[in-house]
Amino acid sequence: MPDARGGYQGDDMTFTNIAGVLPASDKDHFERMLFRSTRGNCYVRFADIEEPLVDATGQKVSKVVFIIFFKSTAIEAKVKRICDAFSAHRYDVKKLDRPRELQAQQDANQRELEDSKKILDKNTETRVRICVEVAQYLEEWLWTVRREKATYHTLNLFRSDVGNFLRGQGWILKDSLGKARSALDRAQATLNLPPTSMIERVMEVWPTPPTHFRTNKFTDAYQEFVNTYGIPRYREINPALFTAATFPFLFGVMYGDIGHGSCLALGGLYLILTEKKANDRNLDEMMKGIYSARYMLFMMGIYAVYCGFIYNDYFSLGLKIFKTNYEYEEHESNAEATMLSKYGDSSKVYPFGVDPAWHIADNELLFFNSMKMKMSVVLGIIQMTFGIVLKGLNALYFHSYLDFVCEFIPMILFDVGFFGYMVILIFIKWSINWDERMQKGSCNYDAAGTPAACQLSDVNLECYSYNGDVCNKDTDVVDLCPLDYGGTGDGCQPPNLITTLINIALAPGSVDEPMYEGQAGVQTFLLLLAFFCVPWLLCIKPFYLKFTHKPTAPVTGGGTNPLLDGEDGASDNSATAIHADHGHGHGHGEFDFGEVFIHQAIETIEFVLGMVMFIYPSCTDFI
Amino acid sequence: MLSMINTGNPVMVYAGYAVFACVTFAVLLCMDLLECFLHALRLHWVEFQNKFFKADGYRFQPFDFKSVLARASLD
Repeated sequence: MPDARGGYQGDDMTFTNIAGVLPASDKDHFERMLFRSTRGNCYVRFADIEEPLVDATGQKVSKVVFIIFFKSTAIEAKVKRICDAFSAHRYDVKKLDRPRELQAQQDANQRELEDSKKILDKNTETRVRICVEVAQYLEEWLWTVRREKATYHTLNLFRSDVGNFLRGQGWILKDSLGKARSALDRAQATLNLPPTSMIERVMEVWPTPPTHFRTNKFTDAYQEFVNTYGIPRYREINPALFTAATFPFLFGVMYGDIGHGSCLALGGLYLILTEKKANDRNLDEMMKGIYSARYMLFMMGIYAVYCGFIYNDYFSLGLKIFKTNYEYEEHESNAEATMLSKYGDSSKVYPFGVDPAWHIADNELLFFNSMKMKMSVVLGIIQMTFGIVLKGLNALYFHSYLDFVCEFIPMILFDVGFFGYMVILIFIKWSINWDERMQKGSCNYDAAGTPAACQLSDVNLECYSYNGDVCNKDTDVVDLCPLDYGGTGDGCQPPNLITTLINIALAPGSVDEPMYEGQAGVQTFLLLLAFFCVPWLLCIKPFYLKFTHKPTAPVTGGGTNPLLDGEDGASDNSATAIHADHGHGHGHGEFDFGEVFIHQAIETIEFVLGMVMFIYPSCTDFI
Repeated sequence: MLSMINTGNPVMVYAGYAVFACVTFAVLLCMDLLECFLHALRLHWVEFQNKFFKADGYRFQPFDFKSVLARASLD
């Protein structure tokens, strides 16, 4: 007689059963656990389920079916606990001896399974459909939400004013004011609002306005270049304008090779031609940076090609574009080249660039180093002088005449007096025909005055000089040279420019190899001028500010020297000042002489050291 | 490298040219480019701009839907 618990009573051999499903991995552990806790008083059977089933998380798990037979109720409780511990699903399997009823139950289960599967599939399908529908609108919604958020964030910056007004202050480009007003009118008309909103100019003293430049895709790279150093102050000269020309040029001067330069130019050209495609694709940081600099790279390549033509350098080889001015035996090492025309003959100058014969000469480096270094020094000093001139222009524009007189004038005098003079020396040395001068100062004239007609040797002990005097091997150049500029060479020997420069400072008043009359005097004057420019730059401005500063009552909070304000006013708003900005430690009406003096000292040191530091590395190479 | 190419042996020329091309690319085109770029940069920032550029302004950042949405698309 079956009872409610699925067991048979009235018989000693009644067995209760518990059936269920268990993950296959737990099977052994489960079996052992059962054996131990029931002390072997139960009977377990397992059967594998062949295909792994998908569990709730979507993973396939292989499971086994188990059925446990036992007698007592105590064991039943234990078994139930163990099953729960292993999270095995238990299923009621009654009527084990009625196969037809078991079959009916199995069919019912199967049907339930199919129904559930159908419902699950339908749900998944619906979910996908909803997502696809939403996907069309998602971007639009996002944009709308972001626009609204931005608008409300900005509205938060407004403050409530009298008469139920909301009032906000901000900056607008002067050119856009008209457009903004018409947009406001349009908005009010569309929404049928009374025309109560307005945009008006603020009347009081303004804080420093922000800086804005209109750039196009060409000038963008250079503006970013300058902005990385620092955003320009409102209304000061924007270096990006000049950088657009000088940066690729200086790069070209340094890179200077037709072949490599054209590789760079082609690379830049490729980037330019594919810029539309690149805009659509999402690039990583580095490629984005390279793309943003595509016009700059292209220009750098072009300038490098140009300088390559000047240096006559094609993948480090010389190009024989024009007829070379030297004659030499090819493929013979240590051959000496002879010039085909006289030194200084202007009709036979190599038309453009460096004579290709130099590239295979032994003393190639001597020539190139001297030329390139002198050229770099000249270009660098031109750039630095230009920078100082811009400083003067800025001072004039902002009407800070103190800056103009106390900073610009001493700087430009120091620069031109010392380094400008060096440039002039370089050009003088380049322009003198040294062959001619050295010839004048040599001892190889004959009695008639024909140059190079007499050769001093062991046989011929005497020749004549330019002046017609007799001379021999021991005669000094000073006595031979007809020019009378002083020093050891009297002007007939080419000077070593570095020595000359060093001696301006170390041995003033004496020039070893002068190039023109009165060189010693000029150099001493310039040295004194430069010498006095330094304390001028250092001291005049702080002392002037100190003497003209009027101490004011702290209540008013204003009235500081307007020039001081002009200097510091902009620094109030600076967050990214590169300069050694003396901090806003002094309040209104206070004047800290020490701080101003230190600031000026830093400027002076920066300037003087900056100029000298530029020259020093180049000095070692150029002669 | 030069002596390799000078022997005239085609294999040596082939290998020598490969070395030459690699050195050209790595040293001259990559490293040299970077170096000249850096020095030109240094010249501009340190020697030129130092003389007159105060650089203590701040950028004009207007309320602009385009930039709001551009920033949004980056997220």
